[in-house]
Amino acid sequence: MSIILAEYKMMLIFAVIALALALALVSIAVILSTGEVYPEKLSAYECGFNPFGDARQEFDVRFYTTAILFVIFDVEVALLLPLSDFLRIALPCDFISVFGFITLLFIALWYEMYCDTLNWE
Amino acid sequence: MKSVILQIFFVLCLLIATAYLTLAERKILGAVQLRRGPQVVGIFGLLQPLADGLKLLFKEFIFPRNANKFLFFISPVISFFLSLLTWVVLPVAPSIAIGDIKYSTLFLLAVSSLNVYGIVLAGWSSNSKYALLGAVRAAAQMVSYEVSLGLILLFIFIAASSMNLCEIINAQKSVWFIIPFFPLAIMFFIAILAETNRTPFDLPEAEAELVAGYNVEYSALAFALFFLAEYSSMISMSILFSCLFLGGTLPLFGSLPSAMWLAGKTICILFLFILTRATLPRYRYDQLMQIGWQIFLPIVLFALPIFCAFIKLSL
Repeated sequence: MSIILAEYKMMLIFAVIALALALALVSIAVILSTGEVYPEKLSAYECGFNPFGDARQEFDVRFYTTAILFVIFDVEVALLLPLSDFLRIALPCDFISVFGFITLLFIALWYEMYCDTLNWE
Repeated sequence: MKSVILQIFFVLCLLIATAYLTLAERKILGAVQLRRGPQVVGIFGLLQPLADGLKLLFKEFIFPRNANKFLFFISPVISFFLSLLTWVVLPVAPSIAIGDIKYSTLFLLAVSSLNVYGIVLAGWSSNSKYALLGAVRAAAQMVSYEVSLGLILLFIFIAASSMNLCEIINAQKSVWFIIPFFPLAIMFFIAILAETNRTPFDLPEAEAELVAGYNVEYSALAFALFFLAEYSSMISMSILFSCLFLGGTLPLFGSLPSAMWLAGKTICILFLFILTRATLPRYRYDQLMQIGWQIFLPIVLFALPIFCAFIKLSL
């Protein structure tokens, strides 16, 4: 048990070092900036034009649907992951349920294709 | 205390490796295009990354007028932190990693998918149209290939019956996984190209339309952090590839130290990354999404039950 905890302790130390380094670098950048500002310098970059409107406009809904699809499929991948340990001890009848689950995933994917949700043209 | 110093040394080494990867990229791109690449600063341009870093240090960091200051400040930190965190489970020598935990590959997958946060927050908080578009594209792209990536990893987990990277390497003693899983290895390579936003899938920073994508408003060291994060995740993904498919630290012949073998294999993959950038034109966005969702995912999903049945019957 203590060996496992030691591993996580090392990882935590590494994480703290990485976070401290990242924070330090950005903080140095902020501290070193002169603070000499004028409107053109602070405006959003739009290829030399004066920025018009707000940048937080609506974007294509397909980005959103893709993200939702990702959530569904990633949960299913997460459910499949125990298979790597399970497969060795699984009985043939257990295997049928695994097969059924993957078939279900396949049907879902086929349905998404059928509905043209995945088509970006 | 000793371990802390060693880890700081490790971080420094990997930062230097990352910096020199940018030089290697410029040199190789130069060689492909029949020019010399950087060669003025130092011998053969060897001091170029240091000069670049120093230049960025003396640039000014500005908060754009309409930016969300806190998120704008924190998103390069998140990006850099997460890309360094992937290194924690990578084996550097046989059965030696900083955190040699049981589910190390899973940890790596989780951390690399968290990388989306840094990019989305950077794009959204800088309140610029280019940045927002780049961030949204990057998020959708990384997320799409995440699914196939996870499923391909599942094949390896089943074959090695472990999720620990060191054990996966040891499972390849008789044969490297690239031989039985050759098509999967190619798909994995393409997926990591898309995950790290490299050409031919660098739509998030398609410079002809979006200038620089999500990091367009960033300057100075904050920009450098995004840059370093991108290249360091390139290296860590290459190490992951060589551990999963090329036997990682396993030597092919001779008595070279095994860490050298891992480094050599990783450098080959990185060379392939850069060569891909030099040769292939950029994909269209609909093609990119089509490959991820309509080609990779059905293939992997179809192959998985067949593979499971094969393993089960051969046991």
